Amino acid sequence: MIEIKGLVKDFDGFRALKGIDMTVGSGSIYGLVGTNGAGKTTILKLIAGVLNPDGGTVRIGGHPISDEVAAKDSMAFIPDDLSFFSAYNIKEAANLYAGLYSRWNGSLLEKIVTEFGLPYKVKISKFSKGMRKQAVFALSLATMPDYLLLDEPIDGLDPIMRKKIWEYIVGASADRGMTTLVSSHNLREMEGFCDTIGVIDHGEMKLERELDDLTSDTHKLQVSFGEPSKRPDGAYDALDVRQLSSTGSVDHLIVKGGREALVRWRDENRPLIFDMVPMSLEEVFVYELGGGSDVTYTIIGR
Amino acid sequence: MLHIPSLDDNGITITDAEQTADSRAAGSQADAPRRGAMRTLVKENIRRYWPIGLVSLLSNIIFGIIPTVIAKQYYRAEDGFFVTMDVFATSWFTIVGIVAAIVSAVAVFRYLHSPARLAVMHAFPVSKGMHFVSNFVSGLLISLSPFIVSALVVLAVLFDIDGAGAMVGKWMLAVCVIILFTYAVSVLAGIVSGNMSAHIIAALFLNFVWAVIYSLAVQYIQSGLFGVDFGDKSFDPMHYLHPFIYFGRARLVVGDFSGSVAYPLATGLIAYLLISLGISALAYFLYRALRAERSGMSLTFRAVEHIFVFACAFGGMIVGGIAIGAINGMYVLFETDPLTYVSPYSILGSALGAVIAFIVAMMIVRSSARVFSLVAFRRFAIFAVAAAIFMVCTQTNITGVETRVPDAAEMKSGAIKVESGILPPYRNGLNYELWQEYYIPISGDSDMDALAQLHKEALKDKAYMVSVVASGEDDFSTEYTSDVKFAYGLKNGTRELRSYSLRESYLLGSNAYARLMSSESVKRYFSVKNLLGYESLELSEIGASGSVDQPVGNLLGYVTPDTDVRGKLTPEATRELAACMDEDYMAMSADDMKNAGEDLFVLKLKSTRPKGKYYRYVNHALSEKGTSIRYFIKKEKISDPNQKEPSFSVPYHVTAKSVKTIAWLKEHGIYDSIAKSAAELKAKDGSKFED
Repeated sequence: MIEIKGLVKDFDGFRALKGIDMTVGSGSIYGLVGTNGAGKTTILKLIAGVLNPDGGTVRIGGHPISDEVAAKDSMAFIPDDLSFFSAYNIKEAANLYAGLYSRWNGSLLEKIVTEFGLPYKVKISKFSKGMRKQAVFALSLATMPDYLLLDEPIDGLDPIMRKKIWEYIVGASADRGMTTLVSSHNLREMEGFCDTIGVIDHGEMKLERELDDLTSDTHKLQVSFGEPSKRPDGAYDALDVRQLSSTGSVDHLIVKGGREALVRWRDENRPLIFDMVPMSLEEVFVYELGGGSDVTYTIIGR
Repeated sequence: MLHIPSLDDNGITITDAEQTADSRAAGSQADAPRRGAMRTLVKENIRRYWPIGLVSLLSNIIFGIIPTVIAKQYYRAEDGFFVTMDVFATSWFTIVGIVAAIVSAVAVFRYLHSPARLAVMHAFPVSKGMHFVSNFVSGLLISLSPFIVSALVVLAVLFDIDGAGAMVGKWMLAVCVIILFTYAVSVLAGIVSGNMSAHIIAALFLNFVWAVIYSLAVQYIQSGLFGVDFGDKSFDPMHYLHPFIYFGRARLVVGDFSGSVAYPLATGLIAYLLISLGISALAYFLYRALRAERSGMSLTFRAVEHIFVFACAFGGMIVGGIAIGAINGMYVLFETDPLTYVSPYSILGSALGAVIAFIVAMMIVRSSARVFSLVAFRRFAIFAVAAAIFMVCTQTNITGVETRVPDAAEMKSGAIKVESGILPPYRNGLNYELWQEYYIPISGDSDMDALAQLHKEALKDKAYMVSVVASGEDDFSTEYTSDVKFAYGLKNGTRELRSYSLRESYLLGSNAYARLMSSESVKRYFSVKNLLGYESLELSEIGASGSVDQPVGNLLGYVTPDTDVRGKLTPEATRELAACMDEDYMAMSADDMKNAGEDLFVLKLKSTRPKGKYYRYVNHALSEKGTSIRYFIKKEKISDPNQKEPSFSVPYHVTAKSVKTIAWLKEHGIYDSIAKSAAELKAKDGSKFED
């Protein structure tokens, strides 16, 4: 588990993180979403121990990260900028990783590299952008990390490669409980694979929720009792109504609550029309983030 | 409840059994990464940067080892001389080592200057301390190994030469320390600088440039404070700012490895080794305190930014002040009061230099040309206040340093140096050029008081000169002057040096000067016993006193066989003669010296070289240990095995006051011959002399 409490980070007087609270459950795949400059990379670097926080705490498996070698041995960090690897070929980089990580798995590396079709002895600087990401991903996964931190790893990859990489991540998560934290500025990338989403904007955590909860407990209802005058007083008091609007005799509601509770209410109040319309993830996010904005639409990929 | 999307059949196929086996194979202890990390990182750095070492080694072979092999041909064992490597070769090794040290430091720590590379490195399961140590060790191996290999080859080449092992061994140690020191400083430069350009500049600056700036600062203070002198080699700490300079002065990296008493080898080795370790430790702690977010900036620590900007502004102030102040030249001292005069050109230059250097430094720190902000102005204001205080203290006599003359009671030791030569009639031999080399040690309360009195008089005479020039009565342009240095070692552990250009007419009329020149200290110093010693003395020439500037004549060619007494004096007899000359000299008062009359003749004594041994002569080396100033007689080996003539001899004047000398010469029946030869020479051509 990765626990972050009140995390603050300043850069030359500019407060990049303003007290972030965040929890990444063990074995989960956490998607950290935000626009450029929101603070995603900063959070990842703080977790990886590259940066030191100016406030708050970061705990990995209950221990502070800081300069903790043992904690870093169970962690792999793939940054957005892969220029470090330009001077290596995969074989040389593998030798380096093998000497540094105690759980290095050379056969896994070989398996992934073969599947990706990457050459061992060509300098990584000569790879395409996508191939570099694949190479570094293979190296990182072969360290058998308990925690995998990925900074915009999917950008630049074709759909087939994206799918393969997600499959490896999900498989490691399922097989050995690897915890993954992935950053992106596009929610749609995360939708199919992440079980938890955190939305960060201008250094603040705006939303952190398990995806199932998000989509399962927010509903859009269309209800009508016939004439408006026939609507019983306080008809909606029993519901957790977050938004109510009317078009003629039809009321449009967004309510929080379980499906069973809503069905029960319908049975009790017997409206003439009762439609429970599933909300798309985009609609949930637009609603949760307080309406449509450039930031929101960037996040949801519109 | 965690929901994992379903996968097709091409997912991960690792089983728990495989994972367990791999983990066991790779090792599962928490310490395993740390132990392997050092080895891994060092091997990795050597794999990447070994070409640096290779280029160093090849350079040493081509420009160092091969010339050594060639130079060995000139060795002559029978003369007892030691012919070392060609001078070029010795300095080449050192220069290559220094360059390799800087390049290695830049190479192994270059990842610090890229935020992306730094992020990956610091995300590895390696502590910051281990990162530093492994990189430090790697770079040191890369820079030091080529030299050690080359030096061992040189040792093998010269091994059969007697004494070579020790000499080459000393040289190796010195150069190893130079490389270590340069490397440590360059590593420190890399930690505090945030990009490669800044790293290289900082490495050069911290190794060498700041020594130059220091020296210029010393010159600046000297030019502003009348009489204050830091220029004597023994008082100039610049020689100690880098081991390359120190061991160079010790002749251990360039030349014949003969060493220098003023720069002892063991002291230098231990001191610079400890300093290198200290610098490395500082770099280690700074590395651990490094904040990754400052990678890529010019400087990685805010405090260093302030130091850098202020240091640049200070350097600019110094350079500007010296450069533009030089317009004034030295004539200003004769037009204005040197104790109160403040050069406007120097101040203008200082101000301009400070402003320009400050702006440039801010641009470097900010990596931008837009540096004119309130913060910058405030920073400059702080600097300006400090600079103003510095300039007032160093350009005026506000501290009283210009007029300070220690009392005899404060002095532990003193010395005087007259660079134009001790004026007759006080001189007791020595040629003009040789006078310039000597600090005459002054000891004893009475003699040190005489020194202080002369110093006070000198200040008064300078004030007198200023007033005369200002009144227009005279400009002293026809006056001869002597440069006189007063050196004091005080009981409180400090030392002071003052330098003045004094009128010879003043000195000749000065009672204080007469008192000092006839003091026990001065006479003892210029005695034959002190300068040459009594062993292996030889009367080499007999001359006639000509003009004041040419006291010695060479009678070779003017001496007939029956008047040539040079071969008739045995070493024992010459020793007796020298003792008489010393007795006469020591007995002379200042009045005796003034009233001695014309020289009867001049006797030139030399210290002959016993076969296989060394000459003994007075060295100008001045070294301070503790609170006293000590003077060394240096034994120097002769480099030319064919040299027959001694490198040092002293002419002594014999006057009517030299009663014991004259008596001895008469007793031994050679007085008449000498006197006759001298008279003949004077009569023929008193101006044709050879020295």
